Amino acid sequence: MKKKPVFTFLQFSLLVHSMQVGTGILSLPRQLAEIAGTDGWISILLAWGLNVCFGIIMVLVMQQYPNDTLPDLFMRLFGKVIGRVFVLLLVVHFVFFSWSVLVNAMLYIQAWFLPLMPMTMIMMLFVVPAYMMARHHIVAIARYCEFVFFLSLWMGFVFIIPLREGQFVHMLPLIKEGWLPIFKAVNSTTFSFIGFEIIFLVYPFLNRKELAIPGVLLGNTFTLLLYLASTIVCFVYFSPDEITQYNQPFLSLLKVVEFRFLERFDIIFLALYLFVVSTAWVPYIYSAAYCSSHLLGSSNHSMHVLLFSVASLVIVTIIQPSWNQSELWKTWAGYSGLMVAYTLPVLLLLYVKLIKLVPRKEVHP
Amino acid sequence: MINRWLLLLVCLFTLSTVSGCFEQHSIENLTISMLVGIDVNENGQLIISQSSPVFSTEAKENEEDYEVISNSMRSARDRFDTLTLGLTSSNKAQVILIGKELTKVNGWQSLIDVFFRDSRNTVSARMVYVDGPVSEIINFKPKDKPRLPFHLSKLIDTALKRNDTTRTTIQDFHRQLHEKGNTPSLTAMRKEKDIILLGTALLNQQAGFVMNVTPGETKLLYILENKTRGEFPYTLIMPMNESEGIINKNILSFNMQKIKTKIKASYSDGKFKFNVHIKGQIYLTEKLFNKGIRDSFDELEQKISKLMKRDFTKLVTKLQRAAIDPAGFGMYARAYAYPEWKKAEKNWTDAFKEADVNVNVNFKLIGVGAIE
Amino acid sequence: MASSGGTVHEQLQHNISQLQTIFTLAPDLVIRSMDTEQGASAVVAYFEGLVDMNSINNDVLRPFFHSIHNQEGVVPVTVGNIKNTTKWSEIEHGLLIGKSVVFMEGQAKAFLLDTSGWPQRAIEDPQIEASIKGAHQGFVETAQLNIALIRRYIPNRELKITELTVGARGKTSISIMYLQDVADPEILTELVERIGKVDVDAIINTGELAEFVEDRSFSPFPQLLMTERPDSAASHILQGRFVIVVDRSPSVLIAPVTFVAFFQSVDDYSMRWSIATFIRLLRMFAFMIALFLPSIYISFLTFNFEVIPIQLVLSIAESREKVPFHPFLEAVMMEITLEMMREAGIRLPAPIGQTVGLVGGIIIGQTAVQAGIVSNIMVIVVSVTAIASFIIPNYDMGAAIRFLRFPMMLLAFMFGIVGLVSGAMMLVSHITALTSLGAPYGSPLSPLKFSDLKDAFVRLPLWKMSSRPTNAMPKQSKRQGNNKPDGDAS
Repeated sequence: MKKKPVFTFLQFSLLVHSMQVGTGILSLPRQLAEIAGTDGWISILLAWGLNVCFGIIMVLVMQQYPNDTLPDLFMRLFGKVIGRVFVLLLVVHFVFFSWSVLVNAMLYIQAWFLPLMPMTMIMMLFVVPAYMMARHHIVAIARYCEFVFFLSLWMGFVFIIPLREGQFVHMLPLIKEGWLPIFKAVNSTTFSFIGFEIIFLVYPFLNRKELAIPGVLLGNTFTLLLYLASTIVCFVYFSPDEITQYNQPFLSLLKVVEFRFLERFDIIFLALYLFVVSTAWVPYIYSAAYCSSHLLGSSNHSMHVLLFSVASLVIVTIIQPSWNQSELWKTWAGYSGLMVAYTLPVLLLLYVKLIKLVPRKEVHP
Repeated sequence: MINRWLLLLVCLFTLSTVSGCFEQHSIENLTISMLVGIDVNENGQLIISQSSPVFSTEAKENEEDYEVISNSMRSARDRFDTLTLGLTSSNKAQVILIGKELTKVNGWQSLIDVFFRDSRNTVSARMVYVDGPVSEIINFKPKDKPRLPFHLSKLIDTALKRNDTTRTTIQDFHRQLHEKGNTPSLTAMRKEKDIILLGTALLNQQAGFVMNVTPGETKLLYILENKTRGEFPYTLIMPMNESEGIINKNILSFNMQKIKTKIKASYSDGKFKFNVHIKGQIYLTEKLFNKGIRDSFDELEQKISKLMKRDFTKLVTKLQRAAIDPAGFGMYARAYAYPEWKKAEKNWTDAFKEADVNVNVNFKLIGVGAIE
Repeated sequence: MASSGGTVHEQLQHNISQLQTIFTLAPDLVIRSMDTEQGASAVVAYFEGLVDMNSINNDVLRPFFHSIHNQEGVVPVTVGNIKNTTKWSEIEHGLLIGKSVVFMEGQAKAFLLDTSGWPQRAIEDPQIEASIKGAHQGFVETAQLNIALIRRYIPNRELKITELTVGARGKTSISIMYLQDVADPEILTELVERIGKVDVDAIINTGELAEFVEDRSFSPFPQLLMTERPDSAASHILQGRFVIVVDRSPSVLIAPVTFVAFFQSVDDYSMRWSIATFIRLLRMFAFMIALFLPSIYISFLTFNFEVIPIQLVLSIAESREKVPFHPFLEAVMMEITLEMMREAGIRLPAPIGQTVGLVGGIIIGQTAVQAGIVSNIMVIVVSVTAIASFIIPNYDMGAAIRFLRFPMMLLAFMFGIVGLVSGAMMLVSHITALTSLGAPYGSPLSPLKFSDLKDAFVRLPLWKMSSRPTNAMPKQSKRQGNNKPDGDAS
């Protein structure tokens, strides 16, 4: 019997982090600026706190059954039939989310690089590597995320370059319109922070369970720092009156970064940023396949990954998604994320606590 | 194993469905317009012109220039495609020339939309205001200079090192247009015998031309904007009561270094008040008057600061009179007096006209050079 | 073979005829019969050429004729390694591997004498993995000698050897060497199991075994490190890895290895550490260049030329102006020419090989550009790529990278830089998921092990590496005590 594969604390938190960071960051500064102006960065801080809380709730649930992934837990708690209904919900969420991330990235690539290339081809460029990775065990995927994270750390330094041209006076005054718009803008960061529901699936493979909560905190903090840095750089560089004009301020910002040996840095950056986005869609596809293989009671998820990959190619060919549709799916994915990442953990925690209470009452009347 | 083959099959299938529609244009098949000119001719028609390098060794000239009458940048490109050998692409535009007549047309600034909408276009081309018709510059082919686009961009970039002119990229221009707290400014240029830089062209909020300021004033403007990179050489006429013949013996030249500008804004008595604090070091580079410096070091230091303050105030008054705000005082008004700014932002330049600007200059003389 | 069954007979004549039936059509089999002083007769049989004639003459035949006392069951020879047997199958195998066999009248057993001495090469400098400061002894084609070479570095009783035989006909003996108190027993079990499963005629060379034993034979990357240097094999054993010595092959296999191990050479440890670090980083850089440079060039030229600074755009366009081919075709043409030249250089004798290089270099470098077949920038790109691919110290890895360059170029041609990134993604996911004997191949980068990074892309001072790399899962991780010299105040 082989040893059970496990991953480390760092891999756990980076898995959470890399699932959260997708294409959202590119348009996040605009979305925030539309609602809260240059105070939007405060909303990110608030959203971070909120998400950490829900992440901790997830860990609390999983602590009760440390060897179960969420589909196992559903089966254990609700039986085979009702359990499957819940698992179906998970499958829908993950499938939807991976689809939405893939389509979004595809549209970016099409707009920025290959305007005449058929969508199917671009999708294939994503799906083939994704299949190669997602069919492996989550431990290997966590390694991939970790590797890509350290591989792309240098991208952080790119943020500093446009700052030289920036005007910090754009940020002032703080809280110019009061707190209300800031609270409102928290809502639009939700999509960018979703992804930590992977805790539900990977908790059993964490080698030191007591570090789960710090892991959630660390992963979310990485995300926070990234979002904060990119948003503030955009706010400082662009005029507050101008930033809402750009669909993806972050990319427009990078357009001005030039080196002696390389111009138009946004192109290089966006292409390499695909690596970072891939660490979002790979675990999502894995999760979708893992849950659906549980739904059908098979132990090997790689066939489901293949199915998903082929299906996404076929669907893209048929539907030919547009920016509008993608935005719509993004909103829907936001709703399903709301269900799985925010409502579900709270309900589960209550339920688990409740059934733990019931037998105890019977023992001690 | 089956998985892998199935995936391979699907890939091959998709590949086969889309064979041969790759959009590739190898470099040598492109006409890279490095210089784009926009102007209005005598008949009131929009003229788009471009200059692009010719790669063929068989051609005598290494540059081709075209001019078409058109309504927009993109429709001009379609016209160029019918003229040039390669596909026209302005992805590498270095300089965009804006004709004098064009700035008189209302709403000309919407022409630059294409540079932002088409993500493949560059946004770092330098925008240049041409004091005269653009065609004069486009058709200028000096024997002793490199290709025109390089000539122009080099001219601007090196002048920028000493802050003699401003460098506004399309991206900067876009920001200046939309930012309510300032007005745009462009490099100004004119063709005489050679192409010369005039300093900075100042536009109003509607991108109409207002006035030119000299290279000296450009330096002051840069200091007000707190863009203090590069060198700041400056020359003052000191009140030394020396002879002012062919050689004005009152002249004093120096370099300004480590300049820090702090602007504070406030609102009282129905108008905005700005307190500008400029601190820095100066190093003498030329002195023509006879009076020694050793014993009057502090005196000289104060004198220079006072004269600089005079020059700054003069410039600000000039700007206020013209109702333009290229230095971006409005951004400080927003930062420090937000509620009043909110009311005034629609017509900021009117409010700026009325504002009190108080400039304080505090320069420290750190060196006088190698001789007395 | 049916005739090889059974046991040795008492009668000498019977045995001789049995021997002759086993080895028909074997003119190099020598059967020498003799009568000892006591009158009892005996027979010595051996294959000419597989035995050391000195040993036969001096240690076997001479004592036989001069033997004074002949006790029952004792052969009067002066050979070190004597084994007696009754099985014909053992006799057959023994003769075939160079032993000589003695039958004696009236004894129902035979004596196998180790007189082996086949043609063999002297120990020379390693050819492919030349080193500047390392030892100048390379492995040869004899397993015993190779084992001895390794043992010279590790005279320790914990150095164990597990012997296996592979090949129905070849009967290649394979020795797995490891430190018993360090190496992971699970990996050993796995290795022995995998080698045991190999069912082939013969293993002629180490590379064949590697292909049967490795984790994923579809991968372009070598998963077992093949070396011809005893010092590097010994250093890997000391790190807790396994060394597989294959008889008749001048290189040994090291497992489990990581991706970065292919970018290290023994010289790294005998140089100043700062210089070794610089060279290692240079190799990683060369790896990137060798893999991606032509494809980056193609994708920039055909899809995203706006990335290139304008001055360079102009000079590239000017140099390409006369070239009638698409950059992709141009690059593939040049790369293939280069590969052909490389391959031709290997096969040809050294003086001619140099001529080929010279002629090829001149043709490509000058004439092709002048003729307008390729642009001179492409020549620069291709030659830089070639140089970069030869910096990689391991031949297999270098070959893998040279091969992978072509699919990368194809991706760049079809999809530009996005295709390139997609290809890189595939490579990264492949390397991350790849294992070498079950140990992660991407270590120490994925999974990340900060402690192992000391000796991966950089080489920190040796006294800092106090624990063995975790990748091979050593039982004993402490490698050395505190060796920090007092001189450095840091």
